[in-house]
Amino acid sequence: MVFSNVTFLFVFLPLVFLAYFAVPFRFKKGVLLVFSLVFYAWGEPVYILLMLYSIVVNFYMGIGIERYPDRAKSTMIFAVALNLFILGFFKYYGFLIENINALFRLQLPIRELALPIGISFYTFESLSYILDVYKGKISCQKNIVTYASYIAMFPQLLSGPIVRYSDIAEQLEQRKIDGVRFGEGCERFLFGLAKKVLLANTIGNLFDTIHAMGGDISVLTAWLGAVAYTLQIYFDFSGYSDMAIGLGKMLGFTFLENFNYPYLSASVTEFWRRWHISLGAWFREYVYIPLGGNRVPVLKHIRNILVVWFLTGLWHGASWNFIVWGMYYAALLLWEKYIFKPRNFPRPLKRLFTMLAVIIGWVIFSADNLSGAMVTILRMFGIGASGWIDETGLYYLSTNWLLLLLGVLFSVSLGRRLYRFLWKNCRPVLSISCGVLFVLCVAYMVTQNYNAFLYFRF
Amino acid sequence: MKLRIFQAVSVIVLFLFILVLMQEKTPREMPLSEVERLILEKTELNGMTRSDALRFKRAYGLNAEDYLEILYYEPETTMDVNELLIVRVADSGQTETVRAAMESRIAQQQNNFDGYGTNQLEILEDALVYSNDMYVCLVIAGDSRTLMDVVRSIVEE
Repeated sequence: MVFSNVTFLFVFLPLVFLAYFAVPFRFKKGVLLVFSLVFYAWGEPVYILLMLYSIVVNFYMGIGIERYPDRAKSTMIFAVALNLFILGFFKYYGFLIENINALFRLQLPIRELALPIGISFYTFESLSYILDVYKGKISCQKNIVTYASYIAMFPQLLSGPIVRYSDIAEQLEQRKIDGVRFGEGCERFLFGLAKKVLLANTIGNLFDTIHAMGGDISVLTAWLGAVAYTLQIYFDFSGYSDMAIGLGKMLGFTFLENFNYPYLSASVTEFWRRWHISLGAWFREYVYIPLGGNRVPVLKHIRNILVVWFLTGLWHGASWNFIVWGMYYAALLLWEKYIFKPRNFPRPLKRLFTMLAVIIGWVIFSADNLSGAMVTILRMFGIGASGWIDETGLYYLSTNWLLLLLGVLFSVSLGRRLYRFLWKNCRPVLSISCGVLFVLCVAYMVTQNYNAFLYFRF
Repeated sequence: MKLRIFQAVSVIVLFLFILVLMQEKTPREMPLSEVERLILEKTELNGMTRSDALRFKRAYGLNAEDYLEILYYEPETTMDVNELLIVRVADSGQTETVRAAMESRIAQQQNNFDGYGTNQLEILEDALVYSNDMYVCLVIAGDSRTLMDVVRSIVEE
């Protein structure tokens, strides 16, 4: 089930609220767990067993680490290895066999198993829990319903943010549920829904159209496609995060922010502090810092960056273009750190260069394969393109310029400024605007058949 | 000791789960190029023409790349309604979405021809949707039943 779906909005969510607010506090976790399992099972009737398995094993491993200190290390290693095996098998098995076959000219059979939705997210949450219990940063959870409601919590189950147990442990036991927070959550959810339904899906249509053209496209059309995807993925993913944070707030939870206007960044380093913050924080905490972080000799630091970005790329999918995308960012970060520090450049110019790097990154990310990415990038710079400007490009520009402009304006801080202005000066207009936005979203949802989020596939 | 037993059991359970999952996938998944070849061997697709992912997206609002494969024959002219769509899904969770898109397409076409296209409406009323674990199929044709029987005999092999 997805958030931007009429069934979710008008059937599932009202039932959740009805049950959640009707029961006493001590039963709320149970209610949340039951509905979260229904939410997951809706699309994954088989893989819910895998998630339940992961919950049970990690829950008891956490207890084992704390109860048997002499075996804590081996238990931690077992749990980490098991989690990585599950993730590796279900996500990378086909990719691995494909590469072995290609490399050694073998014909090992490939079984196409569907990717369990959300596996990358809940596995990383489980790993953070096990590692934090092992390090003694947190006490293990002794109530399996509480632990299961943390892992399976439907607002953040499928596409994050990756909520670490340490950030939410207290809230699982005690949280503030009131009308004001509920209202704030509704508002946040609505803005996320609008990002997804009105902007991401609509801009995504432009990208799909250009992507499906393949062959003869001009430089202008290639750039339009790349910019469209750049905006689509931002509104899609940040929209999901907004909805998740909003739902969390309605239920009394506070999740950490996952985006902070990444397209305003003046460097690639800053971009990754603002984009998918929870994933960056996870890799920093559990990979980069244990490897020594940046407090090591230069060569080791370079190794650390390469390892982290190789894994970041791989985390996004079992495909070489994701790995190359990760390594591309590793190269850019090392470039910024050791080679080129444009301190005296004006900030708008730095932002422009950063956006250029990010857009090229998204071309690698969105391509079907590496050669496709390379062809598109070359076309964007005039190599292999059918001219600089053609009628197709002009047509798509003239019919989509307003949409793209709105996309650019809302991907920076226009939305926030507009909201603050209306909140301070004109609250009735804000209320009416929210109502109109909701009606528009519903109208779009009814007519759009397909609403899956881009990050579901990761 | 209990911990070690639990660990051993959890490993065994995981391997059993994977084994069952692999067994479940044993039915032969035929690529759609093969399905198409067999359909064309057994019958003619009148009033429809081979189409592509972009036209599929426009008609059904779905992205072809989200599925393993699609085979789409669209109406030959604007006055035709004959269609054949077969989607090879990546997992059974996608089936519901595809079926909903197909139902929505039938309703949309009925709406388009409502009031003047009596023949087209009759054909649309006989439209058939079928799905199994791997394929979701839509047939809109003068003799939908016969064409669907051909399709089913191939995808159920």
